Amino acid sequence: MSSKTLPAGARIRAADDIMASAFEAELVLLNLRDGVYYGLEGVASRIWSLIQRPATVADIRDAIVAEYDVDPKRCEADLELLLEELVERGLAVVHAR
Amino acid sequence: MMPREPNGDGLANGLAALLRGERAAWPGLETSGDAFVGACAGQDLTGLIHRALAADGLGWPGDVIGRIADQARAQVGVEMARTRETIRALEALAAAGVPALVFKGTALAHTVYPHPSLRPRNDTDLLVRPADRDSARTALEGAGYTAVNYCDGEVLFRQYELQREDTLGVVHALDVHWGLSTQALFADLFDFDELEAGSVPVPALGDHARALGLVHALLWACVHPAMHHRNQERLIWVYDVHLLTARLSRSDWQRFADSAIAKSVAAICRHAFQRAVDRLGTPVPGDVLLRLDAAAARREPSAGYLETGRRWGDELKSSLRALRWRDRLRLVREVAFPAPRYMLAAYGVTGVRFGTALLPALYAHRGFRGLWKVLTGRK
Repeated sequence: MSSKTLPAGARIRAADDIMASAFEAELVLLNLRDGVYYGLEGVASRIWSLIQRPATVADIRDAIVAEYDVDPKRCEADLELLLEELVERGLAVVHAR
Repeated sequence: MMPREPNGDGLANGLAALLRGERAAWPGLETSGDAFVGACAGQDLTGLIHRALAADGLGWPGDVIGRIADQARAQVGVEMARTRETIRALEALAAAGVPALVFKGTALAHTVYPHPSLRPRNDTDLLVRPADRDSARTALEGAGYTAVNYCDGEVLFRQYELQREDTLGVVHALDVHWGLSTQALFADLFDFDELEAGSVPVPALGDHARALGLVHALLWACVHPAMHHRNQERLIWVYDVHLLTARLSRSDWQRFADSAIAKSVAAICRHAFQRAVDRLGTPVPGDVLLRLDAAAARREPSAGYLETGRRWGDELKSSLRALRWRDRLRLVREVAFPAPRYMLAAYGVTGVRFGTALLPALYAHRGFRGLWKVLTGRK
């Protein structure tokens, strides 16, 4: 994913019909619409927990920067890529404001 | 403590070592990646071995670790679908006023395993009161389940199977039992009320889920391989015993021994513990073993199920010996003449015009075929 598709100030939340189960060091997600499962590890797993309620990229970035030793700009860029991928795969939705 | 006896199977020993939390060197297993991954899947150990290798997989081929991890992750996905469906089925039974107890793999997965996907199974076993079996079937059929053609019977199987395919394509099988065993000698080991009195809630399976309590679950886990699988050894069943014993308190152990002796299954339980000690180093209190040994010396009828080389005929004889005359005749009738519905489906003539007219020939064919299998040692 390289193109930026998230509108500025967009609020993201986990999609409905996604089941999650913590297994060892990862979080396994099952999309109940198509039966495809995914594994999220480390920070991605933490981000999943942060989008259980609608949150902006800035909200999530601030939470991650507070918890992990990471440069805010680098964090935001990586975060946007992950969120775009989650949205593209139907695991997260852009929440109506 | 019992001494551990070595076993000559290198791959099985390696799997057992990993389950014990010990390091197993990959070259020492002298097997291929395909054979190892296949053995894990075949023994339902993929998730447990994934955990062991995640903790210490030093020196193991990355390909093997990766394939095991992928399969373990897939099992987590399937488990989520299974859990959702089990909750749904239990809610349907509760709405119909049918009390049910979850037992065997599904119950253990959600009560003693660190994650339910670590205890794979093909079906979910439910126990209902004999008087509730028709209500249970109606309730589950109302929830979208359909009957599988099963050679049922009051004395023979004491269970029926229902299946449903969910929207993800996962097939969910429910085995609804009204007796604990297909073997008459064990069928009345416990009745529903006794098991329900000792049952425990299973919050992960919803508000209505209850499973066998620890003592009953351990008794069942000890007896199950001998009772239904001609004493076959599968590491996942040994691991069930291992995990259950780890949760028993001092008083639980005494209740277990009391029950095993009173139910005349002390020898079988003693044998199951020896397996767990040999394979997994399971700690079992010495006084419990002494009590089981003393009871086993009295030659319990159930101990016959530990003999090697048992066949279908041996199990039928054991069941016949355990029954009263009236039930013996009924069992013979159920074996020789299963329900017409089963016969028509088994021979693929359900709904065929004049299909029922074929029944005498179908029964005769089944009888000759069964007799031939018994005489030639294939059954």
